[in-house]
Amino acid sequence: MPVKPEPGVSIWKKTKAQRGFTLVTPITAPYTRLVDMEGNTVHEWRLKSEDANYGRLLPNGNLFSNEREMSLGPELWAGKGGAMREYDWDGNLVWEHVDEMQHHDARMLPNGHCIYIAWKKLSKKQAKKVKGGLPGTEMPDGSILGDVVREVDRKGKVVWEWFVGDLKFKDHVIGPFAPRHEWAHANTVAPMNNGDILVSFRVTNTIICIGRKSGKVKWFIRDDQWGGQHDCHQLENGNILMFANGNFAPGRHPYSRVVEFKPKSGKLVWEYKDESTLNFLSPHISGCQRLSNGNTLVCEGGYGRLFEVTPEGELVWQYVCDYEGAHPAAGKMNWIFRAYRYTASSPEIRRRLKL
Amino acid sequence: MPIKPPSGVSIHNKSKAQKGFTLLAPIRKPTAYLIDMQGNPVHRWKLGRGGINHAMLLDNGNLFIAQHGDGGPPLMAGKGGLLREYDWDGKVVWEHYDEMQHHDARRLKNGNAIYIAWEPLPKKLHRRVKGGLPGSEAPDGHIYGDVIREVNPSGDVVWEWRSSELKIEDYPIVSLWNREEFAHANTVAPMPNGDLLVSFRVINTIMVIDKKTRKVKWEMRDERFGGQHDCHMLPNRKILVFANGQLTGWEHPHSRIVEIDPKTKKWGWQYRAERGLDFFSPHISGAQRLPNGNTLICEGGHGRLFEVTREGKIVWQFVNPHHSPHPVLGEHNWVFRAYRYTAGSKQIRRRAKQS
Repeated sequence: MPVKPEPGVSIWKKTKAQRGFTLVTPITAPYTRLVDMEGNTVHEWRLKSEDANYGRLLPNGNLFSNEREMSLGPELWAGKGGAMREYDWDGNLVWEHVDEMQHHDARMLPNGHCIYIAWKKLSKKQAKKVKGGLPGTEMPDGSILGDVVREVDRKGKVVWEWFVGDLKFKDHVIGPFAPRHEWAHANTVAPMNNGDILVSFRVTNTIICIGRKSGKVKWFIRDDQWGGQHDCHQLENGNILMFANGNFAPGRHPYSRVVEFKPKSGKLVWEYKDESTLNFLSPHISGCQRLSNGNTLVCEGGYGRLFEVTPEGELVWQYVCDYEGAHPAAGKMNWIFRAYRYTASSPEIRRRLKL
Repeated sequence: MPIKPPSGVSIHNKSKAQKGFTLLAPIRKPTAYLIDMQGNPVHRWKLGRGGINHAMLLDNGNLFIAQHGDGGPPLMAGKGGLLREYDWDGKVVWEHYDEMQHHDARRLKNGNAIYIAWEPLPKKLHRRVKGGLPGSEAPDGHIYGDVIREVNPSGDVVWEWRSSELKIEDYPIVSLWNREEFAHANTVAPMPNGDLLVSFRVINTIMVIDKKTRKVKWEMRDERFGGQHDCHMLPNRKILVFANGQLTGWEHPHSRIVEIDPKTKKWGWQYRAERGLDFFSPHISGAQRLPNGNTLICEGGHGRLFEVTREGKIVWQFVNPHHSPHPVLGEHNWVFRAYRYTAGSKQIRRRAKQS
């Protein structure tokens, strides 16, 4: 970042930025907020949990919240979840599902079901096949937690499941500086336009596409230059937009990019990086959203910085989160997992707020 | 340090900062400056051909500088070539050209100069270079070894030592670094007894080379260094190191300044930012212990020079306003190292006045 942004909005080019409201969920804060273009809080939900990974508004106008229940499940910090909740505009809880193994991501599907990522211990035989990573960094009992993608209906009944053990172990070797306690640290589950499922695995620098009907992996892309990517999702134009964190990218200094590429082939269509590349880096978390005016809202999560760039890379809006949270290893941190912008007339906002 | 303060001086605690003048030598720019505590240039040297790589003032009050030269191998990092000494008024009083010179160069007490240079390793040694990214040798197929070379005032070579004299296979390159160099020396620091303290970035190693016997007298590899720079011996017999902190493990990348006791190889005094990410330069950079006990830090990749007390409090901070293109990283206000000199020092001799 070329200039130190104080908390709040430090850049707003009114004619170029996409007007709307931005949903901000600081990690370790007990609330989710909608802020306007000036950074003022215009709506707030108090959450049942004291801490959340991220929130997202649904087309029915409710809030879907990925919450952290630190007392449940395995002793892992990164991405720990546990509770998925839906609140109406006034903050009333209308649905919840608790799964102590849930982590990182969960989405509401158009059919009202919920799809999410969870941990599931690999068998000893499977764990033996996991290659790479930092030696001796398995779970304290020597085990490795695999990832599951799980779908539950409105009653919480499991109706579909996919297990990482279906992958060929030799194709998914953990990066040399990553721990071995998870195979392979899934951090995104994103339904595609045709209903197939995109999943991002951080420690193998890989995204996969799972056929919804077949339950089989249709294709996968590994690109070590992505450096522990997050938030892959398909755009209306069919391309995939993703936050490439760029940590541990081979042979270069760490810096982040937002990349748009073709599914399956991985062919790059568009990218954003800072013109002084070292000024844009979040080694963990983070995300991106294509806006209706063609701009991209970027969440540089480790710095709590949200900013909007044009297709040409011009910075037209910038906001820094004022909530000082805590990170177990890195100390004080105003971190944000993902953020979303919604226009006033969108199904999510329904003109319940005025610009 | 992606949340960057504005250019110029943004912190100045007058009672705690070490008064003096700071030599600012922005990389690849044609001018070196002495700035006062307010950040105002009070003296400048206009340099002839070749932008700056690195500069320091000598005990005789002259400026000693490594400038970017033509020719040499197809390597970019640290490329120098032209060594020059300028008097206070900017007149060139000594010059030596070696297209293979890179990174560091120093004037010795006997009037000779010592510097680092590249030299292609004989092909038969390539297989003994372990580690690094497969196929990442230099574009011309070479692996470049480091030479420590001493020349007399007439430019005749009077002493040399080569990294190929090491038992090469005992120094594997970090897995995600390139194999184009063995092993990217970036510092040659003469010690009080004439021995040389050398830093090799891609093997996380610093070593003392006995000037008389040419043997390695002492060495330390510590993966926590993360591609360290600017190791040098302090009057308290501790070694001060800028530990860049790249590729150190799974924790978020962050830099540290460390004092190492060469007898025990233990880390003593350290400085790091409260939030690790707020102080991080993956490349270049340095540190200088000041007469009042504070430490001047050059967070080179962000052009930030700042002074910290023993307790880690920032009492002075300056950001370099001069940008130049980096071959890979884009527009960059980078600084290799910076030095503070008091008004009464041999280097300044009261020729500069606080503005």
